[in-house]
Amino acid sequence: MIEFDNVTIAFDKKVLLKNFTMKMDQGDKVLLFGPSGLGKTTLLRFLLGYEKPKEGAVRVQGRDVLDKVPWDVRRTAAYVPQNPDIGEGPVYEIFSEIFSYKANEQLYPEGGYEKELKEYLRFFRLDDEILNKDFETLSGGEKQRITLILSLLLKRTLFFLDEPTAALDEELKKKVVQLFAENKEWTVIVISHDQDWKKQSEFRVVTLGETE
Amino acid sequence: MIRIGKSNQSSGLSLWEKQNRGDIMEGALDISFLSMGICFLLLIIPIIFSLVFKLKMIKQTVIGVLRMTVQLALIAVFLRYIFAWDNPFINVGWFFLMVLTATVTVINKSQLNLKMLLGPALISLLGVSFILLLYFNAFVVRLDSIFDAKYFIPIGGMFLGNSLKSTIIALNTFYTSLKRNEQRYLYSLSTGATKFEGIRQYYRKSLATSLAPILATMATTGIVSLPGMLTGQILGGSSPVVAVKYQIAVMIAIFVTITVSNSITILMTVQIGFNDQGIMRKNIFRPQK
Repeated sequence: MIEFDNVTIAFDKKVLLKNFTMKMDQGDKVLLFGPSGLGKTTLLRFLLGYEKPKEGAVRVQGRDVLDKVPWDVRRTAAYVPQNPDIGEGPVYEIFSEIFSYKANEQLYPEGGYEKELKEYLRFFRLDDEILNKDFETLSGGEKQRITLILSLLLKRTLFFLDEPTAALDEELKKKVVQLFAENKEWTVIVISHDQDWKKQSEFRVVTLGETE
Repeated sequence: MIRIGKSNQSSGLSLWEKQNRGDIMEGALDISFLSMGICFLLLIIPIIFSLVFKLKMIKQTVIGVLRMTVQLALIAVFLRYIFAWDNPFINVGWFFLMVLTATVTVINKSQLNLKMLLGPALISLLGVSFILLLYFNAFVVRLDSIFDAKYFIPIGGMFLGNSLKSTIIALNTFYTSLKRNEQRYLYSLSTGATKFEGIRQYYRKSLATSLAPILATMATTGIVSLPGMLTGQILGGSSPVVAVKYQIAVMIAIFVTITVSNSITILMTVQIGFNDQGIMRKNIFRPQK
């Protein structure tokens, strides 16, 4: 499903990560662990085609993430960025913008995504009122929850989560970890310093810097 | 029989009507070189201001005034020949030259990479302003010869001069807001947006921003300011009515030129400003000094 093949991350002349290799099958769950500044986020950016590795190859479903392939990856994956700066204006407008994209039009053929959205709002302990608020005025935790809800509403099976629980309270952290751990279909890569992910047996811990 | 106030009864035409018929061809008064010198004397005032307030703008002022004088003097010489020859090919050639200069200026002022964007910007400015100019000359002014130098060049110059500023604003707004909101743009790509779905809100914003000045100008023209063309035509001997008609027609044509050319310019630069993965190329901006 996902393969990092001898990937090297370097900025200018400084090498952050050398010959990183990792393979994941469908349904696999990986926690990328290790100190900040090793390029964990960059690995996710490679998968989404935002950047290319200096050396080595990155593959999703057997295809090198080059040329037009990133567009297919983005339509099959959901990304929760570390910094949930995803838009401006009322929250519901951000939702309707994203679900107006051609790639997402067919996700909710009948009646739209409102029903699922309401359920997720309850799951994440958010009030419906939040949809009318300006996204930029939300707290860090609220932004993070909205971004998580978006990733779930997109009905993808591949998740790239970058510190998705950093701004959540203990109870929600556990719920979110559980949610991603329990779904057998989902292939998940998570970057997190939260111990809850580490404790979850479904997640294979890959510590950066060490070879697998 | 006593007639009062009808001393020009004999011809039966007012002064304006005579002028419009071409009976009287009276341009503005010439300004002698000595008088031009007297005008230049006025520049002493801003120079004194610059000295007193330490604005450090004397060098810029001198360069600006010198460039303006030399450029316009050259234009005066060129235009004399161009009007005398009045050859459609030369006129169109001159117009292309104006477009080229305009395009280079647009990109130079916008902190964007000249080499990358020259082609698309040139094609869209050239195409749009040329078509609008032909439409204007053929159907609005109804010239017998639509390439008549007297109309083709100054009106073309007005189209370009005005769309120029606006295109700079559009390109700058588009690329700087995209750069500032790169995270958001990348996020939208990750949710399945195509390149155009991802950029459309920045596209809208940049077009709206670039059209705001001309909309404001149209709304206040004649009250706040008398446009240069109107003034020029009146000095040149046209009746205010004719001058105003031209001014309105030219404003509308400029507005249309700007709208179309800005929309197309951005879309065309987008084709080369992004890589195959939809990521904005870093070298679209000129390297910071």
